[in-house]
Amino acid sequence: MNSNNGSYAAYLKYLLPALFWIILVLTSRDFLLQVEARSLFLFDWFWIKDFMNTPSGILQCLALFLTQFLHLPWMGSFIWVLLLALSAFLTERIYGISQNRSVLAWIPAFLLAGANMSIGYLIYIMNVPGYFFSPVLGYLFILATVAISRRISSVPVQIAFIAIWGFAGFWIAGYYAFAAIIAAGTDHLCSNKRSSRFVPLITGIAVTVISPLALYGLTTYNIPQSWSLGLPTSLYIETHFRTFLPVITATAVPVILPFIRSYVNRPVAKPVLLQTSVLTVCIILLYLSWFKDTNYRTEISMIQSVNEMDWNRTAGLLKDLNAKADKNKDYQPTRVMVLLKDLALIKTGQEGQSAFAFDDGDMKQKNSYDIPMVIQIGRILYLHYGIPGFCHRWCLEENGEFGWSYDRLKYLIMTSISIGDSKLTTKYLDMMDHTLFYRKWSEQQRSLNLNRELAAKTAPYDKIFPLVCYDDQLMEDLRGCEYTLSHHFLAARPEQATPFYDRVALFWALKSQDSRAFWAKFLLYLDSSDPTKLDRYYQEAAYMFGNMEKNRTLMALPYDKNTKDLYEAFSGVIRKNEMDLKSLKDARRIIPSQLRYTYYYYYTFVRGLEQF
Amino acid sequence: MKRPLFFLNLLMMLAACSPQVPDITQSVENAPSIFPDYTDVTVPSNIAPLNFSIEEKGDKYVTLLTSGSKKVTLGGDKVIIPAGKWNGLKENGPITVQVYVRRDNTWYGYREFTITPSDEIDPYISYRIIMPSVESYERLSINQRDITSFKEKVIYANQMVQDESNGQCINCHHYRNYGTDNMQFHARQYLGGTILSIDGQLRKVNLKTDSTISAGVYPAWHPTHDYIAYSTNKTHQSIHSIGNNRIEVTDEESDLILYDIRNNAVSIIENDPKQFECFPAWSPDGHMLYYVSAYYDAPFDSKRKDQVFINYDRIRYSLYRKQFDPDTRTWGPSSILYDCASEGLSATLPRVSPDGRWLMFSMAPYGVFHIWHRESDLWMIDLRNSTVRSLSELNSPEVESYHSWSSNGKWVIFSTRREDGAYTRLYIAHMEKDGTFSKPFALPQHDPDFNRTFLYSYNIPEFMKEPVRISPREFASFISSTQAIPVGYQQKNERNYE
Repeated sequence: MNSNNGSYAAYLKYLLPALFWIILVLTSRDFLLQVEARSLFLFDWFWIKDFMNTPSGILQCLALFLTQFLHLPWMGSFIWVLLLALSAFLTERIYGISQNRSVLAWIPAFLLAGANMSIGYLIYIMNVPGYFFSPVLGYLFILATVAISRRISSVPVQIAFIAIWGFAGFWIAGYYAFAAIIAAGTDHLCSNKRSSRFVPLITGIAVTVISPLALYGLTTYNIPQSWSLGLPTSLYIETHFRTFLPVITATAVPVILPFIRSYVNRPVAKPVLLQTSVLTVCIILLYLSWFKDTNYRTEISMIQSVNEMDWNRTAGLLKDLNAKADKNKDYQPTRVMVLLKDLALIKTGQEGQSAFAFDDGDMKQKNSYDIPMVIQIGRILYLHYGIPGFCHRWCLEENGEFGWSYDRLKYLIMTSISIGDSKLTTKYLDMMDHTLFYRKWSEQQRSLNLNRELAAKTAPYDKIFPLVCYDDQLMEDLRGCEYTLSHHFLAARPEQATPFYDRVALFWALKSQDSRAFWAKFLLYLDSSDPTKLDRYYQEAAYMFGNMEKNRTLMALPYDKNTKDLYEAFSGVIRKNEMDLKSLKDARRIIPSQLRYTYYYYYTFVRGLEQF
Repeated sequence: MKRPLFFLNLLMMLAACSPQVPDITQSVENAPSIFPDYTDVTVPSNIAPLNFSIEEKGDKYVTLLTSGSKKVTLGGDKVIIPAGKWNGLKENGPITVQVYVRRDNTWYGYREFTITPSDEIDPYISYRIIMPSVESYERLSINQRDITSFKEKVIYANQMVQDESNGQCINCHHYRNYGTDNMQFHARQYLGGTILSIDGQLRKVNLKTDSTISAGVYPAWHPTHDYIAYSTNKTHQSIHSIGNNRIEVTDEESDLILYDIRNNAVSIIENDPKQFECFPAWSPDGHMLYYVSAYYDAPFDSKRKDQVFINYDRIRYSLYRKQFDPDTRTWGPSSILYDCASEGLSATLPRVSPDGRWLMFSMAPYGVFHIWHRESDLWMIDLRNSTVRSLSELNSPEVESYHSWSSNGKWVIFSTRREDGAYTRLYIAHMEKDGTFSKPFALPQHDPDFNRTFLYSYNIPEFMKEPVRISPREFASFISSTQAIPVGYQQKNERNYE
């Protein structure tokens, strides 16, 4: 029986992390890459020293060091899972959890895993660097403290250790140091029978209270914040509880375990049942906490594919989702998805042929807080639509709020190259040279920084420079980046406008559903691009507006038969169902799918969408 | 017997490790390329060591610093001069620096350059540390630096009171006559107010009244009486879509007020609706207020802000002055000192030298917030004869903006983005007797590469004779626990006194 139990536990020890790792790599590649993209570790003494100047900075710095390995998702996630496994192994060893209850040692690891996988939209607004690795490192710090404390038999030395460790540890690991000295205190309390057994715990509690107050003069944090330094936090204070809770619960385990040591060490009558039950609950809880919202995952993947300049994949992701969601008439994409799809189609020259062949919408993101679109994808849109000044601005704003990241550093480099600011580009490239995985990219960009002609022929600049063809202007984007882009492209044509600029302006005119804007941009497009054949949606818009304005000349243009047929079919359906078509929801239900992806449908039903 | 031998061996080993000046096999005509550029500079006799990096390619480096009979030899491409040796060198007069670089087994000796110690400088400066962004101020602090060493301390940081929901911006630290018992800065938004230390006693005031357009903004503490002149501004920030000047800070309205500290009341100095008056600065005797002002005539309606955005590069500020009798708080008429707007230029940040003779300001083609104008340079007027000149010896193709005179008038410290075009750094220059300046040099840092890697800008460098003694904790506790006191309103006293 015992040997069976032993092999069950041993089996779990290897199988569980391996399985979790495989699932992670197979299902969450883009998420892991985005976690890495939103962090930055530089092999630079100044960079590291800056972290050392703040409480919990060393832990954050170490966490950032590990986060960089998520650049290779299999490697980064392997390290993370290994650390989780190590935390379980050490919990079992340090607290002597009997083999037939060993799954209990996995509870903190499950909580820590759940904390990361439930992060969802907070990924865009986390403002503690290294948040992905710091909880597990913090937990290991607690276990290490308990292990060291156990080796100290003398109570005065123990007290001194807890006091010194509390102060020094606050600087190293912030919150986790307090959890560590209290765990060491409870461990001492429960493993001794001497009358002085309470003293280390009391010392630990006292140091927890005192050390932030005593070190306050050396820090620039406010007092209430001091006890939570190092815990994962986001831009919005109301989300802190959500991110704190699983981590605090995990770190509470070493504090509580000494009190139930006699229970966890005791043999159990039906060990397999216990282990399986606990494990099942943990796995279900992990599954439930895993943020699996389809739109969220698609957004993450689309952003990642833009970063990889894989425009076909960017649009393809939404196309696949449309196909899957075809049966769900209530399905809508988010604005982020729509705008990234539009951008991808423009970059691949397919916007005239495919832009409205997707479901449009303004689905609210699945979160209880609003993340401005500009924080999610502002830098992407502004750079690729040729407004680099705003890309630069948002990169700096976000660096201020959330800390520097590879992603923003890359965009700062690309934006500086687009503006032609060689000196600043060099500064940022010098920073990039201190990274582990981006040196090659940096080297390529350095050659483009020195050779603007070469840059103009190289992606992504080949499709950015032609959009930077207007005189500098002062702008604000207080009404959101979608409005700002629309306003920018619908404004008067710049004198130096390129054919590509005219094409993009025509696309935004199509999106505006304004016939005057369309005709103005359409004529400019015809003039500068002189197309041999008009793309589908330009034909549909011209045919529809010509009909609406009863302009015989425009109606007589050489339209494809399909354009006319679809218009007639669409008009017929509208006439037939006039009373029932009150909203986009009704339209999705009533309009046949072959008419749903026409400009006629977009013009008629996709209106009043919320911009974020 | 063994112990003395051990120490002798140790000494010999150390001697063998210390760098030796090589025999020159090839001399180079130019001075070496070093960062920061400290070649042939004049420095204060009490400045911290001028550590630098040698930018020449090589596999071995030796630097020889000589002053009179004193010689210091250092190895490596980062030349970190020990403070004691630096002070010893400075005492002996000009320091000649020779750099030797070994490349391909050949030693090259570069042309010597000189570092010349001169007049003393105020031992402290303070500045704000900020990311060069528009709205984000997650980490802002006003710091003080002992420039005779590398010690830096926080005076106050916004993180000490703010949280994620309640952000606080801090700005405009300012001192009376280079002392720190009388100082001020603004805390904006959360727990906001103007924080004053009056003879060491803290006061938090709300300088906004019904008769003024905003609370006080850019301050100028009267040198002899208990007044502070402020601009009041309705300011906006906007972004250049593609230009090299990334951000534009524009005023929709701008006036000048005087805060009477004793009576806790403000009065109007200038509030012409067709003028944007800004950046007050007192003459050393306190009888003249200098400021800048731009003519702008547009209706006060909802389109005013947009109109400013459209016309931003046509709004130009000229230099003005206005007489003042501090005993009676009475103003004379304003007069134009330098009509640079008519020349297509725009002046800002006037600061008068402690002897009252020179007025330094920054100048760019338009606007008032020149830290975001790459064309911005430092200019100076000789107030004795009103001759104006661009300080070409201080300027660079990048921004030169905020500047302060040392208390003895021998030095200026100014902010510039000459190193990378985006991050503001501090440079110091010596004023010669003829009103020219020696070559400016970067504020020394312990690690010479600091400026290259530090991702914050230095804002508003101000000299101080002494450190701020109120601790950050005292400031934070005061700001958290005190409500801003409202101020009263006084009538302006005016007369023509010629």
